[in-house]
Formats: sequence, C-alpha cells, structure tokens
Amino acid sequence: MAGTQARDNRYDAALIARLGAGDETAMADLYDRYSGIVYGVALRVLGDTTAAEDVLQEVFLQLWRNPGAFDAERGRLAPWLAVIARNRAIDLLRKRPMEEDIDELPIATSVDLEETANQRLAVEKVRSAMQALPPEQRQALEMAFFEGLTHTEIAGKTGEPLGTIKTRIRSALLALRKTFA
Amino acid sequence: MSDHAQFADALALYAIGSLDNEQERTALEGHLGTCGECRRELERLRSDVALLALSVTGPQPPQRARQRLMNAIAAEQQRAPQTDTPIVVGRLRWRWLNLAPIAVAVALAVFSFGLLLEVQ
Repeated sequence: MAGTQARDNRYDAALIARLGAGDETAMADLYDRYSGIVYGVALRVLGDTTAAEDVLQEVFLQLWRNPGAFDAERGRLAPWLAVIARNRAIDLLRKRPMEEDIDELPIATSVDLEETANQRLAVEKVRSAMQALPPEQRQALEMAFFEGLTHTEIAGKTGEPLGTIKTRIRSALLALRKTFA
Repeated sequence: MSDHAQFADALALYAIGSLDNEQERTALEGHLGTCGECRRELERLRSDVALLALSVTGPQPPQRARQRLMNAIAAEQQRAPQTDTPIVVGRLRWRWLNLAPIAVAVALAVFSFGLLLEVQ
C-alpha cells in the first residue's frame, strides 16, 4: 500500500512538472482526478453552484500559473487542493478578494486520495466518522471549517463557553484521525 | 500540566484557523518555535482538517466547467509568448518614472538656488 501511495504521489508530481512545461493535457488529467474534491468543498461552503464553479476555476488556474507552489516532497496534492478550495470559498463567502497567490502549506497525510477507488473509500470513511461524532462536536467542527467562524463566533452562536468549543473541535479532529489510524 | 497539554486545544483551533484570541495565538506561536512535538502535532492536525474536506466530496461540477478551464488555459498559453516584450518595455518606463521625483527635486533645487542668487 505504501508503495502504491508513493507511486501515486510521484504521478501527481510528474503531472505538476508537466504543467510547468505548459502541458495542457496534464492539467486536464489533474482536473479529472481532483475537480470533484475541489468543487465539493466550494459548494459546501458557498451553497451556490455558480460561485462554486468560480472557485473551482480559480483554484486550477492558480495551479496552472504557479505549479511550483506545490511541493510533492512535503505533502500530497488532494488535501492541499481541498484546503486551498476551502480558503478561497471562505474568502468569497466573506466577500474578501480571493488570494491570487497560493501560500497554503503542504499537507502530509497517509490517506491515499490519488486513485479514484481509494478516494471513494476515504470519502465514505470520513463521512461515517463525521456521522459518528457527537452532534455538538460535529456542529462546532463544521462551523469552523465550512463557515470559517472563529471559536469566539461559534461560542456566541451556540451559547456555549469558549473552552467547551475548543475542546469539542479538538476531540472531533482526533476522532477523524483515529478513523485512518 | 505540561506545556503540550496546556496548548493542545488551542493548537487544534490554530490548525483550523479559528483561534482568534491574539494573546493566545502569540503564546502558542512562541511555544511552537521551541517545541518540535507541538509542531509535529500541528502538522497532524492540519492533515485531520484536510480530511474534513473529503466528507463533502460527491457532487460533480458541470461539464462546461472543464471546458471553461481548458479555454482559459489555452488563452493564457496564447498570451504568454507575447507578454515578454511589453513587460520589459513597461519595466523600463517604470524605472524612468521612478526617477521623476528626483528630477523634480533637482529642478526645484536649481530654481531655488537661482532665486537665492538673484536676491543676493
């Protein structure tokens, strides 16, 4: 499995290198592999298909313009793109101009997201793990990630103490981690 | 309570970008500067956060989105070779423009000096 992951990461790294050489077919390949993840996050944050499409376009265009922003040695492409999509979508939600540079840090994960079949498996696992969370933990986590709220804002909206919100978010993240341990 | 335990909850908030208490963030960043274990935990938490994004994967973008992207890229490809010259010319012009305030200052100095001579 580890060997497959390394090979898939290398495949992504090769596609990124081809982007640097102006190879449009590499972009098409990357789009086919990861547009579902990018679009899914943007749609969940924005709740609007047109706006989500704009984020999708922007994320892949930024990758095209600056493929060197992704460092295959330090992280994997799928979670990195997902976090960029989330951040750009939150910018749009908050009516801030979308960042033009990609400065998100690389994300190292052992979860294999490159192959479609593995991607599907991982999605199902995360979904089950989210459903298994106590509702108040899930709510705090979703408000932070998909609504871009700070812990003070979450505490204000839910009427819960700050400390409780903090603990809920950490417990929820650790529960997600356990799913893939 | 160890430092790690003290910062554990704040670290999770920091990873998800929700820690808005300036004082707490400064203290945490100070601790991260000296604690390798907490830096590693931050990386793990950021990876956990990224997993969250997967839970909403499913809806596929419309077909036209792919074409729109490929068209935009093709258009950028066509523009790219032509941008070299104008950018260089633009930069040269910009450099000369940078000298404008100095030129104005020198002209003013000469003018003032002339006035001074006339008065004397």
